Amino acid sequence: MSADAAKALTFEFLSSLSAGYMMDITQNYFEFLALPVTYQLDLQSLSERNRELQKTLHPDRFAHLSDRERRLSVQYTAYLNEAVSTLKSPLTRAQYLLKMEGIDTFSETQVQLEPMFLMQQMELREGLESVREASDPDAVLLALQATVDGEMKALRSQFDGFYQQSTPTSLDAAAVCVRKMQFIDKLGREIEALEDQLFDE
Amino acid sequence: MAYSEQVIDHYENPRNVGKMNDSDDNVGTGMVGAPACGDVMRLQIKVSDEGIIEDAKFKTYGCGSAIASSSLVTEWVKGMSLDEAQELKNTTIAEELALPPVKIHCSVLAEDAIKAAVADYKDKRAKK
Amino acid sequence: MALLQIAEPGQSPEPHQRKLAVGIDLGTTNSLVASVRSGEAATLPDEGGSHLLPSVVRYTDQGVVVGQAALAQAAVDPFNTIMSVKRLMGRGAVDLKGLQGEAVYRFADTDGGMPYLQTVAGDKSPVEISAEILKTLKARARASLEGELEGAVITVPAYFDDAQRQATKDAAQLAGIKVLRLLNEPTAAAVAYGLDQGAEGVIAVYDLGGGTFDISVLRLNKGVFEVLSTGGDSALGGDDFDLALAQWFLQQLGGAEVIAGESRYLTEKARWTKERLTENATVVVDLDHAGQKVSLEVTRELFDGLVETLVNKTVRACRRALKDAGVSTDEVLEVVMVGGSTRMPVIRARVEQFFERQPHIDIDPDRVVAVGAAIQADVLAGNKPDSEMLLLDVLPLSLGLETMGGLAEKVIHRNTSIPVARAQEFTTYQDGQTAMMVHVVQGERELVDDCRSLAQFVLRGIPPMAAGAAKIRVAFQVDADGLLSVSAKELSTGIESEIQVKPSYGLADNEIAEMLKASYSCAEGDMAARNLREQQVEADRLLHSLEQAISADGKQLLSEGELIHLQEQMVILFSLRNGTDSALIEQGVKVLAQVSDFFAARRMDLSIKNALKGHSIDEIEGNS
Ligand SMILES: Nc1ncnc2c1ncn2[C@@H]1O[C@H](COP(=O)(O)OP(=O)(O)O)[C@@H](O)[C@H]1O
Ligand SMILES: [Mg+2]
Repeated sequence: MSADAAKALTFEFLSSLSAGYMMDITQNYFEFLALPVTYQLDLQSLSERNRELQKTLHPDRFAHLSDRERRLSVQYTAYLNEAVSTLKSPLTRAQYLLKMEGIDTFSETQVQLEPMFLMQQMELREGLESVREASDPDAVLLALQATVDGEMKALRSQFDGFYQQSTPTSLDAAAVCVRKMQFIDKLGREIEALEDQLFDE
Repeated sequence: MAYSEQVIDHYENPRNVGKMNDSDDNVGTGMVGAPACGDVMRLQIKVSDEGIIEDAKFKTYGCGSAIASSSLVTEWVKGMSLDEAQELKNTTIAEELALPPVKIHCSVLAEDAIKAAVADYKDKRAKK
Repeated sequence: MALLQIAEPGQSPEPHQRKLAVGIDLGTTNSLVASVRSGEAATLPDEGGSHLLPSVVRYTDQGVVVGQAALAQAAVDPFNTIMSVKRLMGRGAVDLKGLQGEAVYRFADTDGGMPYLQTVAGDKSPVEISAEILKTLKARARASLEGELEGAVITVPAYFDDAQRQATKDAAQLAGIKVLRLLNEPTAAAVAYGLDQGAEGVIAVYDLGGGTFDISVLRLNKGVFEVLSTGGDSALGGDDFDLALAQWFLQQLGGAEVIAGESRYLTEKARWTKERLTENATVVVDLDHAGQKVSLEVTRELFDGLVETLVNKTVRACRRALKDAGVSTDEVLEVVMVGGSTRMPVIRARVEQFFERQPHIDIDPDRVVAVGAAIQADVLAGNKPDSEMLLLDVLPLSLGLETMGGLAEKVIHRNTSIPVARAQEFTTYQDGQTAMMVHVVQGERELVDDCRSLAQFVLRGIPPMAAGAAKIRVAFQVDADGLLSVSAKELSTGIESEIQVKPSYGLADNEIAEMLKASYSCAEGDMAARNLREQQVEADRLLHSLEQAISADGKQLLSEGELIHLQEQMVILFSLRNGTDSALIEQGVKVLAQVSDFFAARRMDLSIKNALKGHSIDEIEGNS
């Protein structure tokens, strides 16, 4: 299971914790943060709400109180942190919106993908692998990064379009966008890792 | 804890890494991916006129278990008939490598890849 | 209206009485204690007027000596004089081979777990040695504040892993200090600095001490310090600069073999030289080593060259931390320097060059951490109910699980905001399997062997089923201190699995209890008295907070029946609390906590509603 899948599980885990009464999490992340359900989320408001809620919920607010208050506060704050980090990243935000529509892309492992897309992903990764041999590795990395950024941007706006149409077919198309984003996202992280390595050498 | 030397070995010394010419008539290519972890896998087979897999190559961008699974599959399918290769089950791979439940999907990916490669080869043949 | 009279008449605490809380910087080289008095945070001196307590513990057959007096004997009595013990915290015996500086100690044979150091006073664990330093600081605080401590905020390097944090907390427990919070050193520095300067925006804190290096990137906004990323090296510090120079000394001496006591002689000389080079371009050092007497001239250029790789390492970590934080160098508003080693000109120059801005050195780098911790301690003790200040931290290193095959599977990534909770599902491999081993590791590498082993858990009591039928959910929770706890549950039957946590390089709970016991003269009696007192305090805390909660929100949130039931239960605990059976009180606290959980949760929900009141549902719907 990937970290994202583990993340998806958290939701259920928090509600199944055996220790005493549990918080009310019938609310989704958007409701919990009093934010509109939309892909075009205002990140500024997100971090403001986060600050406001941290000020009420964080364990440090309960440091001088009993164990029980601190324990509850840890659970609430963990939920808040999960909500914020999920909504902050464009990829997980898209996945979360789909999950609210009953499409779980967090943990799916077996899906058909367009061969052309996979081919392109393979080539991009081969490109990344040969960066070390390139005469100007930085330039190649930059070009790859630009491709990744461009693809991601395009997928995001496609996703938003499909998501807003909100029909069963368009939501399926939105899910396809999310799957593609997952590959691009991974590639982006690998570019970063290589950049770090090259810099460290 | 049952410990699998196999995974580490196939991960550190993967066998049959490489690429075959996809335009060759006797080469079949399977391309698969797992969105949840962003892994991409290409598995290719070279088939003799008798329908026996003579050679296999793979390239996997992914975690250790995905690399090990595809490496193992390329080892196994050499010498198999197409039908035999298509029968390959992910559970056999997972068992051989002692993959933990969280990594089972890596063996599924390898199974899908070999199936796709065989299908691609048959497709090519049928078109001729 | 008070529902219960909890405190005895005459014993009742003044409502405005300040709780005594301190901040402790438990450093590799030096330690300090600070507190807030009449609104000012300041470090506390010892009777001799010195604020820095050298983190050195010497064991003699007459007792334990801590600080300057111990340091003075370091060269003569190297095996019994423990320096830089912080480097050993949470480390396994196997890790120590790499620590050249510490090679002088004699380690007792252990089975690969926590290392014990052989001294004339017996084998000592790093936790016990650190506890001696903490006890000294506690005594200092008690003497100068004239009262009992409510608790302390103890600082740790941001880059400390779970084992190192746990070891620090254990040391505090041994020293009889209640930990209000383990605070990251750079965050503490940012607090001292931010409050002092009224800064708002992105702050980078570069902290190079004696044994550790930390870089943290924080955003300060309306009193909230949010750590965006953190990085560093928990085994890189001024000591390594000393070592680099000592090695050069040795070369000049013809490469004679290093002998225990004498290697310390050379590193002491190196440190002396290094510190003088901060003010002088050239330093002449006289060495008397292995029968050779030489006088060497060391220039700053030479020194800078010797330590270049070390400095580069820190700059790389800065670069990475910025990237992880998602900010560019020009977004960094201020750079704060912490730790004695940031006095070195080569460090200041490189940091300035990297961030393209002059770093702040206006708060004494030795004291800034303790001062920040004291400010936080004052808030946490409840002395400043109106304070807006809040410190939000991240997990410094990824947490993962060993999957079969020796690969590490990450469950929580580094730089995730804490507290955090995640779950992972497991199943059984064999028919009828009732137990299962789980190995938790921390680190970024793909192979388990390259990560730090935190703990092995045995999940027991899994109901016998066919292989693969059991679904075991293992839940990880990291609290605000960065400490991990784990629980597990079999889902198809709902049976709670029993978990045995065996920390890989730490003390088990019973070992701590044993040590505590051993530290009391007439063990049994003292232990019982202390135990009773602790349970009474916890009972009072619960009763008191319930009482307050009821008077604040009882009318709104409780039905008449619920209120009566709660009050009955409170009376029961109150009468137990006045008895002498600590086990009964503990039980009573558990019961009352349980029956009032729903009320606490309702209050949380209410406070969430209140916090978001400004953002009405209309606004939400209007936008969507
Ligand atoms: N003037 C100086 N020049 C260079 N290094 C110094 C100077 N003063 C102190 N140091 C170094 O600072 C380190 C101790 O810093 P400190 O912040 O007290 O460490 P820690 O927090 O790890 O205990 C030691 O390595 C010491 O040699
Ligand atoms: Mg320090």
